[in-house]
Amino acid sequence: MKGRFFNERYVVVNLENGEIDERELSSEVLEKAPGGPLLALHLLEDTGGTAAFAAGLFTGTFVPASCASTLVWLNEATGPVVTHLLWHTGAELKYSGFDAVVLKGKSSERVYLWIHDGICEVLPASALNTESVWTLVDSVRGEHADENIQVISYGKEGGLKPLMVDYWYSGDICGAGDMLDNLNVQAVALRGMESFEADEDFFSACVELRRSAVSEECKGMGRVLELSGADTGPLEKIKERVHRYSACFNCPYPCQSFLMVKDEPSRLKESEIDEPGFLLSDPFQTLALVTGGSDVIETMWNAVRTGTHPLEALYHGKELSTVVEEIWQDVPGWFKNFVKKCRASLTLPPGDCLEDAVKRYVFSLSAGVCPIFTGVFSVNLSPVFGSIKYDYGAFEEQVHSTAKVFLDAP
Amino acid sequence: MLPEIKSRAALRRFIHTFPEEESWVVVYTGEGTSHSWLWVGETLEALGWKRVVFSASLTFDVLSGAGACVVSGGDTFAIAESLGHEGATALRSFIRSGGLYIGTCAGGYLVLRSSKEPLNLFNFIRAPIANLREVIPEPVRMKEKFAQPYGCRYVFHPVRGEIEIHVVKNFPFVSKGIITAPIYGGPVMEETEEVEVIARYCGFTDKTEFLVDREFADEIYTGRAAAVRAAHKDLKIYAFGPHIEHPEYEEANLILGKLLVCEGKRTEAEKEVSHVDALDIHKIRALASNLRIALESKTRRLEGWKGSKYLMAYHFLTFVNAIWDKVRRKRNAIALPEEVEEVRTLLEESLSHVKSGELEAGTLLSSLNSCASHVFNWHFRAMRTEKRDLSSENAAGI
Repeated sequence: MKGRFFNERYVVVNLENGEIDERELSSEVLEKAPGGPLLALHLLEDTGGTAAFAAGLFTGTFVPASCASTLVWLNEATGPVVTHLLWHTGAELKYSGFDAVVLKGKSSERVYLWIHDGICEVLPASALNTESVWTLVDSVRGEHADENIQVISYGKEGGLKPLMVDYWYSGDICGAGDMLDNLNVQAVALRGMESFEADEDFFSACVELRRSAVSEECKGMGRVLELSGADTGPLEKIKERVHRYSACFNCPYPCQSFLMVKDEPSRLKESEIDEPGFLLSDPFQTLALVTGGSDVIETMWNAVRTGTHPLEALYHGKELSTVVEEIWQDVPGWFKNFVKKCRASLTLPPGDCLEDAVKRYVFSLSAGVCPIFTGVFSVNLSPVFGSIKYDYGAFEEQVHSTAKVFLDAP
Repeated sequence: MLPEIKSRAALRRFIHTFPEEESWVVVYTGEGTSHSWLWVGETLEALGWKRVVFSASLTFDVLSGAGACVVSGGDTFAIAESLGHEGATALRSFIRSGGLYIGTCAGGYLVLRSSKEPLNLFNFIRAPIANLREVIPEPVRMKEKFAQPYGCRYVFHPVRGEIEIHVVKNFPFVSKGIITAPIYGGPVMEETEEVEVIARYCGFTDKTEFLVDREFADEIYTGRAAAVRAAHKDLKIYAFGPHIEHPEYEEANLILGKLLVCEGKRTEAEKEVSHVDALDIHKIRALASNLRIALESKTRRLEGWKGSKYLMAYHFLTFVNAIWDKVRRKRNAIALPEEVEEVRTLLEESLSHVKSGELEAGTLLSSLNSCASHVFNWHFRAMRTEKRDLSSENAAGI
């Protein structure tokens, strides 16, 4: 492989005794497990850890949509579980100086991890304002005096706590928040100022990929779902509240829509109202919005604020797994298409969770590229692999064998 | 006589081959200095020069056993005030006993004869300042950097950035020719019988930033002295207008390095802090990182700060990043426990001030400067304990 894509360091955090063990990540390990779920699984096995965050091969680089990192944890009931970190959080993990963070044991006190510049600190969470996800993020940023800190957290409510990235819903439906809650970890805050040099061939391949990828007009989550076959009719309800579109780190498609809830969507000046809306960052929110009643937008706003899964918020009182099981048969085809293309999840009914979908998902995360970018837009990353003399076929093979671990889980 | 050496790598190899040529260098880091002393540290490290002490004062004690003393840029008045009578006496005694003095920019101004207090404590050589006038033109940019009052006159600096200098004298350490070096407010000197001119300003480059019109700049600089040394052969006093220590200017760095090799006083005196154990500086690393993250965020909103010199937000980051660069990969430092404690306290206080928004620029800059000085000493001590590995030096190539 040509070029350097990793920090070649990871950290093992023993939550029981607060010990921080910074370790080298050898080229042999990176060859066997080049990022994402592959790396996370390898390190979990190697260290006896219970959860691991891991950056992908291209995370945080010039590759378009290289915003993805992974969280894998070992669930006794279901086996290894994988979810994604997009937005700016995935890239920040790599910039923070570590390629992976492994959690071991359980903390006796409520703590949060502050990972910066290749340093990991375990700090008491008592000073943080946990009233809502939004106050939590603000208090972490205030504590360390930097608005660019990326915060991974979860809410307090609901039967299944999804992972939140900064103020917004991450798209996690595996209950990563519950897992962190069980470990007594309130949040993981990331900041770093590392940078990686880009080889000229690699840079040119990335530019070419971006040029070819942006030929298609795409703004907002609605359009992503339209591409998966969604009816445009129900999506109008969302469009009228859109204030602006946002993209994750280095993504040519701003597929996230900021919906104005408490102010006018046409407003150009910064709203004087605190917390005027929310970022529509995942199709589950969209599903909830198009199927919900008249007050659904307010409900979704509150769900994001409190960190409640959108479907749990919509079907108040019911657990997510029950909701999914109940509504799955009636879920529109476009939604199923989307999930199969890029958000394969083990919590969905097994019959609908196709092997190819899981493989695609694991592939994207291992490469460090957004699953929507590779899935919905069918972006081919092989030229980028070629530019760094990396065997694309071998990478795919490694991914497929790892995907099997998740597919074979009970 | 130094062999023909045309690169930093070659000079580095020479220094490693003949370690006895490496005299102790004291770099002044105290009040009044700008971040340019960091450049001296970086360049000496690049040259493989390990016998370096960074000191916030220049006393008899600090200078005893030293072969050379470098004072770089900053605020000349503040440096002179900080060094005071004691510093001036110690420096004079050091020079009279054969010590090498190298001053660049403010450090160059410092040793030029002046009637103003406290500058007159340092009247070591006479080379009138050509960039000193009662009436000066209106600058077209960077007004705050252009001029400072000097009695009823002004010291002014028509250009910043890169400038060309013509080395006009074949000294043992440097051959004739034109080189480029950066200038950020250094003196333009007139020739007198008390000095020998080593180099003259001779032109501008596309990296020269003109604060006034080019014609006026040309009138002030071209043909005038950019570097002088005391004419008296026993006094090794060198004053430079440009920053020959700037790490991005290899040819200029060679002048500094060769000067130290050829003119630095040999001494056997031990400047080493003895019996110091490597101390765990994990906490210092974490604090330095926290501070640079917070400063990076806060300084975006900071205005420039006017003391007797105009400082900008990036000065803070330059110091904190230099500290970070030296401690980032190290778990241990060869440092005195009280030094580690002082750095920890200063970093904690600085971080607390940055977080609370009670940012007093002068105090913060002084704290960062002091921390950086300690950290550079730890770093150079650690370098001195490393085995001289000539094979790796050879691998670096010439």
